[in-house]
Amino acid sequence: MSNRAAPSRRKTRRPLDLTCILPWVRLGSLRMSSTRRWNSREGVLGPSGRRHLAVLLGLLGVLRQPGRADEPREKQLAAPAGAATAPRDADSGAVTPGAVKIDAQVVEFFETKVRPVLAGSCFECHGPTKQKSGLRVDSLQGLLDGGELGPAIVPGDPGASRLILGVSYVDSSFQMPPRAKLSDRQIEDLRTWVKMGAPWPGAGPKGDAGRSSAPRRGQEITALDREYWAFQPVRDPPPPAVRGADWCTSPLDRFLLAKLEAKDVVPNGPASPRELVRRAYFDLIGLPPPPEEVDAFGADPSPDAWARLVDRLLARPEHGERWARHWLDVVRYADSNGYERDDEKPLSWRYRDYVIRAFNEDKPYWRFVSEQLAGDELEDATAEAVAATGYYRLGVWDDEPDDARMAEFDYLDDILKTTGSAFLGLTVGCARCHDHKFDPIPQEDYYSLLAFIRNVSYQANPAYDFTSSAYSPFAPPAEVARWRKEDARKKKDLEARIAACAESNEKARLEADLKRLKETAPPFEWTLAVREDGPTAKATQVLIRGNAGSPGKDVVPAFLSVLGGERPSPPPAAAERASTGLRSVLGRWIGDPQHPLTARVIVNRVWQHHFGRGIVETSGDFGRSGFPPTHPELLDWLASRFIESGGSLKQLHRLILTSSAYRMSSSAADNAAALRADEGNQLFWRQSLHRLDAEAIRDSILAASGVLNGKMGGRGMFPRVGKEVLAGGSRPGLGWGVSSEAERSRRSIYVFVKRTMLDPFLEGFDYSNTAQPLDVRPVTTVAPQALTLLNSSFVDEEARSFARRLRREAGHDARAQVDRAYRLALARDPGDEERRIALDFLAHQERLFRDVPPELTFAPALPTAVASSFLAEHPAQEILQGPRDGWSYYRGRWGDGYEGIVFADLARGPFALWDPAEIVDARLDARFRIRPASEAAGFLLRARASKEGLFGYEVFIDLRTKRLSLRRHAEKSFKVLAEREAPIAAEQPIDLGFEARGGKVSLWLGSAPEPFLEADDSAPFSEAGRAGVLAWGSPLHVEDLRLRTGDKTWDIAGASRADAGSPADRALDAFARVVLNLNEFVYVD
Amino acid sequence: MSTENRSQPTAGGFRPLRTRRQFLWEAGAGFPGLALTALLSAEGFFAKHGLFAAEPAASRKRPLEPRAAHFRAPARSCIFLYMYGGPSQMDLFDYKPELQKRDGQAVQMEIRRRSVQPSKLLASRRKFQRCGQSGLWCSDVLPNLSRHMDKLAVIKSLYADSFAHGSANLQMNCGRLLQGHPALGAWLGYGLGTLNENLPGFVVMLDPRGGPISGAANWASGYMPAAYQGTVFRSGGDPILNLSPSSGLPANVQREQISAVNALNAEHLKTRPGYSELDARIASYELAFQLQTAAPEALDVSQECARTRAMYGLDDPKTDHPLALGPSHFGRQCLIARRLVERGVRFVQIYSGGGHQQQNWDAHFSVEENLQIHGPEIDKPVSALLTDLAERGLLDETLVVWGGEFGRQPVSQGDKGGRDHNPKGFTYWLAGGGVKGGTSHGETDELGHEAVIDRHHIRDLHGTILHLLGLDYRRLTYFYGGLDQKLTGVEEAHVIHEILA
Repeated sequence: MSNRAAPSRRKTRRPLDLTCILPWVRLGSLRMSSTRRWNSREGVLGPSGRRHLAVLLGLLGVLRQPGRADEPREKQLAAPAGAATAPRDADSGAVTPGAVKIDAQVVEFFETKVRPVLAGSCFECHGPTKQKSGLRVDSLQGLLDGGELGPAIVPGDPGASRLILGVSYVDSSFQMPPRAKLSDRQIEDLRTWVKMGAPWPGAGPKGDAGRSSAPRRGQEITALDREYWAFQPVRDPPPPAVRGADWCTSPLDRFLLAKLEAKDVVPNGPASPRELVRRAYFDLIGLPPPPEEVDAFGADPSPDAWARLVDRLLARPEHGERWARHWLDVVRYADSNGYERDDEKPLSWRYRDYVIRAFNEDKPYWRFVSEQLAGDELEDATAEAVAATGYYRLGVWDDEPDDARMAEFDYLDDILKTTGSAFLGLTVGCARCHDHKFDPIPQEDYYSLLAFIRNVSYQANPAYDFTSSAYSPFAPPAEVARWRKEDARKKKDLEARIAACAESNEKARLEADLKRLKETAPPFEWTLAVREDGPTAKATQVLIRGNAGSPGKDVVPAFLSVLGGERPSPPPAAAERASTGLRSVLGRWIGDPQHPLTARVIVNRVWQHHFGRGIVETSGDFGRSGFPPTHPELLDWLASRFIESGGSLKQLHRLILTSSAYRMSSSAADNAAALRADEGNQLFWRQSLHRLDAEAIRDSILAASGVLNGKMGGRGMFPRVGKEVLAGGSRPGLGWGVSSEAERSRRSIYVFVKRTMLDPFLEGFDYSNTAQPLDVRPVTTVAPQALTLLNSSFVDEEARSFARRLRREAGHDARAQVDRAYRLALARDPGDEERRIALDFLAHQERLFRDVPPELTFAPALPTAVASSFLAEHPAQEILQGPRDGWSYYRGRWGDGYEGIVFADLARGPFALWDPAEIVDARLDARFRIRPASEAAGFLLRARASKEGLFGYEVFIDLRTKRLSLRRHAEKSFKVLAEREAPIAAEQPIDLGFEARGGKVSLWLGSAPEPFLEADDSAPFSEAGRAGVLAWGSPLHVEDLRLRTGDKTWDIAGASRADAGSPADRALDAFARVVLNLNEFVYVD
Repeated sequence: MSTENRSQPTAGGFRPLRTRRQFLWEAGAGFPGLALTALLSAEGFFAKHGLFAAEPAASRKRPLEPRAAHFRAPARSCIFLYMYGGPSQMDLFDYKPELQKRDGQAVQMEIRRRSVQPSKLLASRRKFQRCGQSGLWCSDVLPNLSRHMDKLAVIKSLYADSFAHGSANLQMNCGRLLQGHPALGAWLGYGLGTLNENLPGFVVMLDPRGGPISGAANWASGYMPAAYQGTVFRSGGDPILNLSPSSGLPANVQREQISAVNALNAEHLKTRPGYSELDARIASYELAFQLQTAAPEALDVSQECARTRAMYGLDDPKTDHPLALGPSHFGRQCLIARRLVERGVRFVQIYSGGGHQQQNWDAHFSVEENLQIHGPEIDKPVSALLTDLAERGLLDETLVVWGGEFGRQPVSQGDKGGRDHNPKGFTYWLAGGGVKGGTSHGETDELGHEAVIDRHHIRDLHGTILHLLGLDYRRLTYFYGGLDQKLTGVEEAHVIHEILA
């Protein structure tokens, strides 16, 4: 886009000082690497630095004084005499530049040791052609003037000279030259030279008079910048005249229609009642409509039926959950810190719940803004307002930063960047290191804005106390202050009484009272919140190139220059205040209804979620690098109505939803002329057909299956996560948890957001970035999404629930089941063809399932290496998941911990025992199937579980080595009684017979009559035990499992698999899954 | 349409490899027509519904659609062998005679950011020798690999910006110390698209001891769509999350379920013509189905001959150190990597080492013990990978990259001869497509602490990798947050021309 082109802002070059450098200009253009190549071809050995110098000297000789390089090196390297004779400044110890007496020796030293180094290593970037960081080192003046980081040398004081600091590489964040360190010798020479007072032959004496005050070119704000549309006050344009006024139900429509008419495009007709209800449900509450609601709306002829529907939805608590999630994207909400440890941010959810409540209560937007930015500083601050300031604590936080000094500014930058984008639609963050390249935001403006939040405490101290840097009482600050005052008074009072008390018993009683008082926790709950380092503002400087180590000019809190650049007077100091009050000043500015950006930005975000695209498509960037509004007048008209309403988002929703435009059909096929004129729908001639976002897909599945748990608020819950995903963490599972089934059935907004391990279901459907503000979620269509909806255990479980619901609500008639499925999932009846396909499918699947015996599935749910704390949260039946009735589960042995990680001991890994029978001599017959990723499987007899492992006999199948063994387990150890290799293939049914009779243990494989393995245990177990199963790596499917002892036989598989259902039931399970996979299920018209 | 697709995979010198998918394209049936019809008729089901007989799908927006490179380049794929934890350069490739001489001497050194500490030099306990015609140095930690030095370009003068694993891993993988940026593999997918739509374009294989610090952020797509993120492949069996039904349905039963989804979607599509998204979603089910066969096939190393398997160390026992795995695991992953690039996967990253400390190359406790654990795990596999790629003519078009998030210090840590992190100077080597073998580039100081000659920030390494794959790091941009984002960031980067063939 042409408007992305940066305005040409070339640096003004300083006039060239040509008096002495001409020969060096040429030398300076010789690259270091070429001299090195020459050198290495010669094969000169020895410390690289010396080699360097020699080469440079050689080159120098060639260019300047033929023959010099032949002189003995020692002579060249000798320090010159007279070096210490320079006059010094009495106060600083610095030498007056240019005041050093320059004799032949000094000239020689400079020309052989100093200038060649500068020329060879520095001129390339700091010479006549380039002046990186504004620095030139090809003249003394250039060095004295310095660059952005200040003067490069302080003559006479190497320690204070940045040139010396850079070349000596002591600070790894500032190393010069960056491509190759100079040799120690060269560095020493430069140091000597600076110490000498930096004599530069031919430079002539120069005092301070010659020192230009190095103009730092600040970005100029031009009239053109100020005239940019987004910086103009919001106007209230009248709706334009249109020909087709009868199409319009809202003035809003006329803005759209006027543009359409100009292109001779007719907008789409209205969507069907069913489409409308579905659209409104998903847009306003993020859930599918119950079919009854669709019927009722379709049957309601009253003219206000639609408005009433919209009102009903806006009043639902789910509305806040839906819209809070959009806001959470914009403020990059998460429940963990990210980075190496990615620890939980306790109580982050109070912020999330605050946002939900704010939207449900229709909190005026201005208040919503100011509470997040400075809720704690507001005079009428409530507990909620304090929770709102959790806003400052949502971002990523590195608890082991490489550079602590930078980390604080990274943290503040993250807040400022988010604030700029979320509230103002400006990419303020771009001006951290330099003036903004596209927008009129000078770097100084960035730091002037930063000054408002400079006092925000950086170090996150997770303590719930009054000194915490991240937590505050979840109570009105005034109430807390009162309590603290009262508490202090009580303590003081007691102390005084103790001091005055002479009677020892009474004194002891008072002392006990005081002790109790001190130990009593404050009567408050806590919340994640902002804290400041006291009421006095820290100084803020411009950081040159964004480098925390290079502070520049001081700045004071000020608003953006392009918007007037006001420097608001800081609030008067108040003794009892805990903060500077500057954030509330910032909050008032941003949250001012008259601010040209704030209203436009939020109105545009709301529009975006109702029409699939913002009027400004880049909803977080209203600057020049974003897209211009397609309908600027409409944007302003909406913003005006929004301001008029006092910042009511619900009224804005109402305004938009009751328009004709919102209610248009999304069809792209019925309006050929429009499609031709505006294929991309830039003019909004149709509504957008769009895929549901990740949360709405997951919530819709739970809603369709009838298990959605509407519980609101509180700490996030943990969906089950596949072991493949867990395995990606350096301490697998650390920081994840185990939630009950009911908890796991809550809406997606309550899924715990762990930055380094997002819930794979949500992530797969473009849940996306939690590190930075996200304004528009991408919508991708990729195969892993299909795999998730077809194969994940979440969808598998929900499809079964959905099928159960169908049987419950529609009985056992296939046609009724199909119709009900369509109504619940898609809010309509199936068409004839669809019904026919569905019924065919059910019949066919039922036939197939008649041939597919139901299986017992034992599915390991954890990777082999796992964080011990995560393992500890798992009940055994969540480690190995399988049939519930009649089975007990054991976690087995886990290997020694290392760095908090433990390893499953495959030979005695998690196992399950069948409870109903205890046996001594018995035979177990099994027909089972392993999966390709299976690692170990086993069957147990006469088994007993113990705390540390198990006792009993086992046939152990090591699927990595394809070896079978007979084993005797004795708690912590086992003995291999017999072992043999066997051809075992994945996905093939395997028949196995396993018998323990006294000490004789036998194994049969397939249909062979002879035992495959046999062993006599010299020390047999005589006690009775149970039969059991072990599985690791991948699920083990057991089709048949029978236990015989004497003349008694138990059909274990048969008894345990009643819940798999009949072939017809299983076919319905499959159909339920098919429905959840349909395009129509995840798309809204 | 079929012409367009046939021409795609040959870009960048790729020898066409006929996948089932391509066959379908070349047969001119259009997509998803033939594949679905074949599948449906194979099931003898739905034939009567006469689906998909009509028009081929309209143009669709596929994020991984193949794109032309910026210029012709030898490499079309990259295998990144990631030595997580930070391997010790002065014990492997960066021979420092001065360090050997000064073992035990006290020095002052920057060990963590701006923290200069008195320390004692620790000479390498390993024997070094010059190898091959190039005479590059390699220690006896990697005896097998030392025979391949003439294939490698060893860069000894890299530096990075973080002393901590979390941010250093992110910087090595995504170019930034901060989370939220796309990984190298995501950039390649974005820049070049895929060569084989039946497999993910960016595959990550992890160490069984755990993932790297910062976890999935290391293969994230950041601000790009999720389609570009890395797919974690397990090295055995079910390689991809949710690849097969959690309930263990037989294939024919599931196939029919997919067919039903497609049939009902086709009904829906009839009422909503002109929506390419809906079309694309139907196609994604076909791709998912293909993936269910293509992915296990790519991982099935039993198709390889005994000699190959042995060469990669698949049958070798592990050493007796309790934390060691032996070469068979990494060997299997290297072999799979070869099979994946052979099948057109653009970027494969294998992590050697997982979890913490001695479980990976993070040799704080003892560098000797660390090398005893991890050296044998990679030596045979990496050497076999180079041999195998060369024998199959794949080395010329595959870039192999070896290295970790930083290197280690020349001074001793702890009482067992450990070495601490060192981002100020460390070694990487590259081999294969477009790389000048037998090259040693750059130097650290005489102790190996810090890059001093031909220093390269790792953005230069990133720029060079992109360059070798035909992408100009300056032109490969993604607009986000008000800026044309680049893998190499806002600072100037340089392609390391000295190592290019």
